[in-house]
Parts: sequence; structure tokens; C-alpha cells
Amino acid sequence: MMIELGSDRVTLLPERAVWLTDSRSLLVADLHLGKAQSFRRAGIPVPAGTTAATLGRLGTLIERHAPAELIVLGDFLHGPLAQQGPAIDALALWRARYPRLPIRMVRGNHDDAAGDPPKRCGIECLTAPLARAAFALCHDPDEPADRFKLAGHVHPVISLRGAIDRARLGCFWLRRDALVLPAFGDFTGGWEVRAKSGERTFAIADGQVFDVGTLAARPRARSRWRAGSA
Amino acid sequence: MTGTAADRATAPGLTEARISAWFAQRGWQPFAFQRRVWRAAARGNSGLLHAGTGSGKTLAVWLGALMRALGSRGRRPVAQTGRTRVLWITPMRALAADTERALLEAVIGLELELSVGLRTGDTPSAERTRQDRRPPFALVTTPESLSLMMSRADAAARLGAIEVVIVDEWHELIGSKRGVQLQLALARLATLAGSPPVVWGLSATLGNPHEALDVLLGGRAGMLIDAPARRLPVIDTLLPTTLERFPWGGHLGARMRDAVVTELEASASALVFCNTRAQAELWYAMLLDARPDWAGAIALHHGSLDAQVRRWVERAIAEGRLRAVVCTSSLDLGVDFAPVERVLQIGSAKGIARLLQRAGRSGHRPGAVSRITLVPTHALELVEAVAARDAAAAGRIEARIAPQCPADVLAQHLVTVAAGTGFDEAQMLAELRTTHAYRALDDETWRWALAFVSDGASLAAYPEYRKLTRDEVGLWRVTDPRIARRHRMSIGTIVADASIDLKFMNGARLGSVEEGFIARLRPGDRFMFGGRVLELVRVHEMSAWVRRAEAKTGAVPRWSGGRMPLSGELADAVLDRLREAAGGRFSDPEMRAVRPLLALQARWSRLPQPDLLLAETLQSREGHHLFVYPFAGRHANLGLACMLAFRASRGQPATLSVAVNDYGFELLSAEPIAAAQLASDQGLVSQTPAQDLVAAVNAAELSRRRFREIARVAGLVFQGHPGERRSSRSLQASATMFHDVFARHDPDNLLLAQSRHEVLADELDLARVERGLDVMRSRRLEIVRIERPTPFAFPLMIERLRETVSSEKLADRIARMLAELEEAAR
Repeated sequence: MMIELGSDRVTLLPERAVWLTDSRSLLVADLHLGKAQSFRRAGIPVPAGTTAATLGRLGTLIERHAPAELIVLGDFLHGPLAQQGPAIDALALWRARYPRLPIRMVRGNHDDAAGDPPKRCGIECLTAPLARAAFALCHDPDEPADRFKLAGHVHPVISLRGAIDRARLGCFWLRRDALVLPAFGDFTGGWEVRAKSGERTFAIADGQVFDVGTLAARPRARSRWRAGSA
Repeated sequence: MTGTAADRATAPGLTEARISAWFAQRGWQPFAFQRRVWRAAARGNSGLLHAGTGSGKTLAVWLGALMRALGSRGRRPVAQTGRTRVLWITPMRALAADTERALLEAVIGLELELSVGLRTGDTPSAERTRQDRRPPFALVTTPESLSLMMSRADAAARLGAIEVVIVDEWHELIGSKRGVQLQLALARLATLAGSPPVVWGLSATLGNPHEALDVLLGGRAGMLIDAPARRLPVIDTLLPTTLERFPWGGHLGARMRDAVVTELEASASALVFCNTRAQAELWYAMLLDARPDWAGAIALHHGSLDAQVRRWVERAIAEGRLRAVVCTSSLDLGVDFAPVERVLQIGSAKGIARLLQRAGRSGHRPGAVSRITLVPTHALELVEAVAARDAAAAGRIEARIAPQCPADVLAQHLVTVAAGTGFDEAQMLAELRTTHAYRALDDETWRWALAFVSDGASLAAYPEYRKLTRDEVGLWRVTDPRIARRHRMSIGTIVADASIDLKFMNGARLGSVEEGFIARLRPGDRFMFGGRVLELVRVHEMSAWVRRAEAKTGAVPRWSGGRMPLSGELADAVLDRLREAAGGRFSDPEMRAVRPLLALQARWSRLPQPDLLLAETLQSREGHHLFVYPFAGRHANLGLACMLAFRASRGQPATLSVAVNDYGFELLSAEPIAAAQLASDQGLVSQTPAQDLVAAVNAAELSRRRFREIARVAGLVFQGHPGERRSSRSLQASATMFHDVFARHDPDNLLLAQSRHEVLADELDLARVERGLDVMRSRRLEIVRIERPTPFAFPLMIERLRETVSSEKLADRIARMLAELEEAAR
């Protein structure tokens, strides 16, 4: 779904990514690679497969869009325990499949603790903000910046509620000062957005992006029937 | 907190003659059941003392335990007296201190020189250290604290000489995972001591006392001793003055306020039971509003209030200083409150056992009778009230069913033991199989559980994972101190939502509320808690800082907590009464009061009856409604509803909204529901109700929600200490995330299977669903097209908690919801 932010056109992809047409930049946020591995090393059993699945989806996106660059909006690795072992090996192998693609990342709060991915992975690590088009690319949408931000960090999700139905979905959250991307990584949770006035959300479901607009998921008055209204 | 006198080199013996002399001195006469317990325990028999509300239970088992542990002539040599020999397990730590006092009273009376200690989550560390140095002869503790002791390296020294274990309020534990945790602990005690301890359970009236005995003893032989019940309590109902303005469903019972005030005026001391904490808060506020002069004379008691406040209230009742206490199940258990004259129950008690238990909190003065007065919150509860009296009179008491082989509790227990003494594989398997819960534990499940908590060796999906390791002599142990520490912090099976401390600006602690409730509030918002209206100032570091607000009302925190289903016994009794009504018989005041409403139901539709399955269809602006009334209780009705909804959505893509209550369920759909076909014989015929339910459950996402408890018990999700929270945050994930990651990457994980099983067994009550299907098939189906919601349909229509069952593509559902939202916003 294409939206206009100022004079720039930005495409919201249902794969939880953003496409900047002019610079041909592919943006994702919050990969949290190696998270499951960190858990396992700390004695919490989380099955393997989430990092591979995340990288697999990212590869598919790259192959489909042939971007000029991939930019990760922070939280690339989950924690220091992810620095060695299969997650990094998988990342290096995956990286080798796209040798000419520049991959950049602006550091987020997890990256501060986890450290940058090792050199052999060929990830250019930057301290936010990074300028692209008219935007400041950063991790935390509340970071001070003098222009509109594209960010991650909060893992936004939204609750929808209808007469007979409800759903909780990952979403893009368009604030006055920032567009917040949903978390890209597998095994990442979500934080429920309550859009304030002037804000919009875009929900993701079944490979589509839905413009929820400013519709809030407010609890519905269930029934107009009154007891004994004979 | 440690008892009167230190142990001597040889403890004095205790004989029945000595006890009798003490009784005589106090002017008491031992009951026959007390003598039976004393003799049995002294001989080394185990058993269950099954008694309604009666006095003398504590002395029966306590003196029996002492006779066993002391022998008749102080037979213990010097070397062994320095260890704890008797454990008293209580399900509520709030009860522990009172229990300790009661036990000490007998010790002092009998001039025994032995010490009694107390060890719960509330025990200060200085006292713990003292106990470590000088273990008390008898220790009062909770299942959680006992497990915690087992997770320490000195478990064998501390618990290896236990000879007698008393399990108080066993009926509270037997049906839950806490009961399973205790079964495991008892088996461990037997291993540590070299032989099984003498175990005595205390239980209130249960429908299945023999099974309760079996579960407690893991099938070892034991005696069931029934203490004769006192007189049946008086069960009556507070009738609304007029039914006309009386709500049809889902209310707080505010219209009964003045009638309740009148009743309280007439009694010196009463307990007012509510079914939820929110309802208790509102009732407390309503009563104070009606009688401001009762400030200080009435009090509030529920599980979220600060422990000190609760203790104060308990003491004030016991001393007769309070006219009334508005409370929840937090006061179901406990020491006798002698001054309490009567009990009021707001809304349905849902089951006979619970009703009798609550009634039994009153009438403890000599010559007094227990009395419980039901206060209906809506019209149909009048029928329930009569039905409850019928069932109580007929002695139809619910059974409590013990859980079978829960993988999460097993996983937790293995880590507990590994963190303590460590365990040998073969020995542990044999030990587990001595418990009722794991007597049928198969080798495959065992190997899975061990791999899941140890090093994932046989589970391909867990590289680098390691929790337990085998030491040089082959024992499984926790070697990483961080893992051990994290485990000790999360021992237990009571799962609450993450809660947040409520504090006044000066730092005084009020209690705790669910994090989710506070998250919905903004600074400046008002809410009710502990009988006060508070204003949120700010949330910081897991505390919500509040100040008193001037306003009279505010939002009421909704504490989660399962709503009890109406028991089968009570549901059947309700149907019997409805049949009488259909036959024109209204023999009790409650039935006469509700007569106009039942007449309306009969006029607009039909009255549900034992041999009739009533279904009603209604079209409204919301869509097409189908109401069915199998009277199977909330859980089984949900099971039946999900099953029918699943079938309705199988033929063509559809999304149905499901609401249930204890009487029936509602299916709501945008498209017409083929009611006749669904509710007909064919619709209800199922060769494989369990399989159909599994499919329906997956569609309804119930199992994802159920996983919350399992993830917590199995040690996946943990709530650390406030101080540790920060550092461990990167190791936190929600139960839903665990559920989904297992479902995708390790679908054979037994915790997933357990979650499905628990949904079937507990939330949907498979056994009652199957019975319900039979009943529905055997009843004559009558489908009535109604023009407006009937008295039975209305409560379902306004039910806010709903399930969704869908076979539509998610995208189609989202598109429809967005269209509806847009419509509503216009």
C-alpha cells in the first residue's frame, strides 16, 4: 500500500517492511536475530528455527524487490549471547548470497547491549539517525530528530473488534512525527497501539495491508435490547 | 515465631490417657472420630478426615500426629530430635499463623516440650536462619514453601526425618495443579526419609471422598474417617420486593442493597460473600453509601489487598469488632470466626460444596446454627437458590477431580529436585509413579520431560540448550546458579496476571492490581480499590503511585480469575424446578417470586425442561442469533457451542460469535444459521466428540490462551524479583509467543498437547460435553422463533466475554470489521 509522507511516496509492504521508491531502499525493523538461541543458552527451551525463518523471509523480500540497499532500523541481534554460534553462522551464510547488496543498520537499544554483528557479516553499523529522502531513519520513534522519522522499537500491533469478530494484528503506526514499522523478526512480541487523534494505523493480515485509518478499536455497546421491553 | 520450648534430649511421649486427662481438665469430651484418628495415626496408619464444618478436626489430626511422632514413651534417641518430624501443610499462607497458634495451644496445654515453626513466603529471613540452625519439631508451611525447601541443597538434612504430614483443606488442593505439586512433594519426602510418612488429610464435604483419599496417598492403603456433620445449615433467600424492575441478567445486585442493609442491621456480625473482587469493591462502596455511619464497622477483604490489611480485618472479625465484612473466596477458608452469626451470598454460589462451605463460616457459637442467605442479582438466580437448597438437602455434593499427568508441573518438579539434592533417573521415575497424578506416566512422556528440562539431547530442535546436567555420579543437577535462582523465584502453580503494586505517595502499600488494568488508565484517572476512590498519579518501576480522590466513584479494577461454572448437580436441580414450574407448581417463596418471569418465558417461547431441548432463533440488527439451553454449566456449554459453531462454519466460510452462561449458549452470525439442521439429531451426532472439539478449539484460539498458565508453571515465563527485572528483561517472552513458536517449530512438544487437553478437560469440560450431547439428543428438540430476547436469551445477548469461531479467510474478516467500524464511526 502506497502512502504519501510529505512529498515522498512510501510503500507499506505486507511482509512487514517499507519500500522507499526513490532511493530503492528496503526497510525493516527489529530482527532480534539469535533471540531463541539466547533463551536456550540461558536454560529456557525455545525451539530452533526462528532465526532461519526470519532470514528466509528477508531473502525472499530482497529477491522480489532487488533493492539498492537494505536498512535495518535497529535491534539486529537480540543480545550478547547471540554473538557466537549458529545464529551468526546462519547470518554470514545468508549474507554471502547477496554479496553486492549494501546492508546498513542504525543501532537500537538491543544493539547497544548485543554489540554489532561481526565484520564478516558485512553489515554497516551506524548510529542513528540516518538520512534518507526527507526522513530520519532511527530505532526509537521517540528519539529527538528534526524531521519525520521512520522507526521501529515498539513492535506495534492493533486490536480490531467487530460485531461478531475480533483480531490482533501486526501494524504500521503512523504518528505525527514518525512512521513506526512492525517487528520483522519471528519470536518477537507485540505492543498494542492505541492510536491518538491525528494518528493512523495500517493492519497486516493474509498478505495484505489494510488501512485502519483513525478507527479505534473501542469496546462496542453490545446490545440495544433492554430487559422486559415487551 | 518458634514455639514455646526447645526440644529436649528426649521428647516426652504422648498417650491417649494423657490427652483424655487434658480434655477432662478443660471440660471437653473427645469425639468418637477424634479417638479413631488418634489410634489410627499412633499405629502408623494414614487417612483422610472427611468432615463438614465441625470443630475438633485440628485436634484430631494434630494430636494423632504427635502421638505418632513422639511415641508413647519418648522413644527417640538424642541424635534425631534436632530435626523436623511433623509437617503441617496449609493451602493459604494467611492461615498459617493462625494454625501455628492453634497447634501451640495444644502443645502448651499438654505440657509438651517441643517447638512449632512457621515457614511461608511471609517468613522473615531472620526467622528462616533461626530455623536453619534449630529446626522446629513441627513446621507449618504451604505447598510452595515446601517445594522451595526441596530446591535447596540441604533438602535431605531438613526434610529427611519427616514422619507425619498433615494436609489441611485437602479439598482446596485436590482438583488443582497445586494438589499435584503436593503429591510430588509427598513422594519426595518418602524418598528423603527412606519410607513414606504417615499422611493425614483434612477435607470439607466432597462428593468423592474415597478418590480424595486415593489421590492423597497415591493409592497406598488408608482410612477414610467421617466426622458426623452438624445440622444442615439454614439456606434462605432475600426476595426482591418487586420483580418488575429486577434485572434479567448480569448485574451486581444493586437493587438488593437496601434489603441487604436491613439484614445486616439485624445481625451482630455477618460475612457478605461476592464472587469477584470487583463485585466486592462495589458492594462495599454501596453499603457505605447507604450507611455512612458504618464506616469502621464494616470492612472489605479480598486477595489483592495488602496482607496486613487482610490480617487486621480477620482479627477484627474474630474479636467481634465488625458488623460485616464484604469478601470473596479469600475468606472461604480459615480459622473459626466465632462471632459470625450469618452469611450472605451475593449472586449464585455456583455449587453446593462451596455454598455449604461458606454457610459453615457462621453459627459457631454454642447452640447456634449456620445460616446462609442467598441474595439474587438477577431473576433466574431465584430458581438457582431453590435448586441449591434442594441439592443440599439431598446431599448432592460435587466431586473434585484430580488432574492427570500434567507435563508442566512435572517439568517444574524435576528442576526443583535437581536444584536441591539432584536425582537419579530410574529412582525418580519410580518415585513419580507412586503418585496418583503420574501413576500412569509412560516411558515416552518421561523421556520427553527429562530431555525438555535437561539438555534437549533427544529433542533435535534445541541446540545449545542446557538446564540440568548430569554430575560425576550420574545424578541430574542444576549447576548454573542463575538457573537455580530463577527457578526458585518461580516455584508454584498459582498463576496470576502480572500485577503491579499500588502505593500512596508517602510509600504506604495498598495492595496490587493487574498490570493490564493500570495500563488502561492515564494519570488523573480515578478508580476504586480497597473501598477507596483513588487517583492515579504515575506508574514507575512496577509501582502505581496514587492519591486519594474526592470523587465518589471510579472505575473498578477487573481482576482476571476464572468464573466458576454452575455445577452439574445444581444445573440438574434447576431443571427439576423448571419442570415443576411448567406443571404449574410454585411451592416455595422464591418460585412464587419468579413466577411472572417464567410465565413470560413460557408465553414468548417455552420453559426449558429436563426432557426438552429448547432452541430459540432471533434476527436483530447484529445478525442472526441462535440460543440453545442444554444446562450443562458454563464450561461444557462453551464446548457444545464451539462444536456447533465449528460445524456451522465447516460447510461454508463463516465467522460466529459465541456467548455462554451456565444455562445455555448463543451463536451469532452475519448469515442465517441453519438452526434446525444444527440442533437436530444429525447436527448433534458425533462419533468423535473429542476430535471435533479439538478442531473447534483450534478455531477458537482457546488453547493459545490456556498456554499462559502452562508456560509459567513449566518455567518458560517467569516474573522475577523487582530488582532483577531489568537485567532479565531480554529473557522474557509472552506465553503466546512460546505457544506459537512451539506450534511452528516443535509441534510435538508435550506442553502443546497438555494445553489442548486442559482446554478440553477444564475449559470445555469434555466429560460434560459428551454427557451434554447425549442429553441434547435424547431431549425433544423444540425450535422457537422469537421476536425479542426472552428472559433466558437476554443474559446471553448482553454477555461481553465472547469467543470467535471462524472458517473465513482472515482478510475477509478484517475487511468486514473495518466496514463495520466505518459504519459505526459515521
